[in-house]
Amino acid sequence: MTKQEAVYIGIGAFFLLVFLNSSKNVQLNEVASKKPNTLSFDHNSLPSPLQPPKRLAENEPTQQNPIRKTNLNGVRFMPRFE
Amino acid sequence: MTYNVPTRYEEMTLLLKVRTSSPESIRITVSDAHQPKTIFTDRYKTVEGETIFFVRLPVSGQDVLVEVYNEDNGNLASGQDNTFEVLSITKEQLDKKLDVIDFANPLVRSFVNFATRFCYNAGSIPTGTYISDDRNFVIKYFPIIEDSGEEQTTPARIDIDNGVIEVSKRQFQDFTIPNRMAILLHEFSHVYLNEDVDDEIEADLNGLLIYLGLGYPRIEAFEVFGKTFMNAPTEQNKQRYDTIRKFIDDFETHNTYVYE
Repeated sequence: MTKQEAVYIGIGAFFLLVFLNSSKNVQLNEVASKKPNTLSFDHNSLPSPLQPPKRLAENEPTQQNPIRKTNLNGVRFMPRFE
Repeated sequence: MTYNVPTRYEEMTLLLKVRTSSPESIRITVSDAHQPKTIFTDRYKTVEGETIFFVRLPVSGQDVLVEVYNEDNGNLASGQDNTFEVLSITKEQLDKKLDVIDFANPLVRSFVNFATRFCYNAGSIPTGTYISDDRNFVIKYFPIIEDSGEEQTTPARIDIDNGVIEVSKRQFQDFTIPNRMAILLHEFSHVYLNEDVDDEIEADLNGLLIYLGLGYPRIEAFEVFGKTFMNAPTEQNKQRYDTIRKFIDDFETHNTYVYE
């Protein structure tokens, strides 16, 4: 096999793998229960981007930062080029 | 019919291929298999012949329950309802358009993270005050939103002076996650993105641009605004609905609408 043929085979295999991985058929697994099984559910088991945000205690002060707009819409005097 | 689909918290599009022999109203719901009141989509379509439901899932659970049933007959086990057939369920990549979102703005990045976490869990967390990690955003999650002791029809509202968002748990817990996201992004836009904080249509479109860019389902945006507007069917709300419809259509055809 020449070097050129090996490169072509490699490129072809790459696109074949991309095609095969682009959609995956799911085996149809029918279940009897229509409701979620919440018995073992715990928010701590969620990955961090999906965990609930911090909840403040009853009398804990909010200490929210003041509103600051960092986009150009907040700039009152900006050059207009139109 | 109810199917368990492992999704491993990944983003994806689920394709459900359904066949009927005559026009039937087929309902699809996708919900978290472990977390209560966590619904990713709830929609129906009249199907005649073969059709594919595209369910966009920018967020998903460890496993999801996919319910497919004829609305006339209710959710029956396979073999008990011969009016339709589920041919396949396929996972595909989620089509997102992150370039339309101003992620260079740290407030947008932070709010998308905060809102995603709140919306995913809103059905299973208690009422109270929630704050983002950078302390820029606060959501007061009330049992209901009321003024002078009277319950308000709005599911959420924002205080334009301090940016605090109030959310009604009674309404939010039954919404789908995309419904919740569309509403919170609308409220965020009022104060943090709008040129005119009071402009409802500007907030609709600024919020929708982020919502659509993240890959959330189009149909759920129509649905939530439709529900909200039905509670207050004014001429302005009709105009808002028409503008939203055009905006979403244009987004799909890559003619991103620029609000003026």
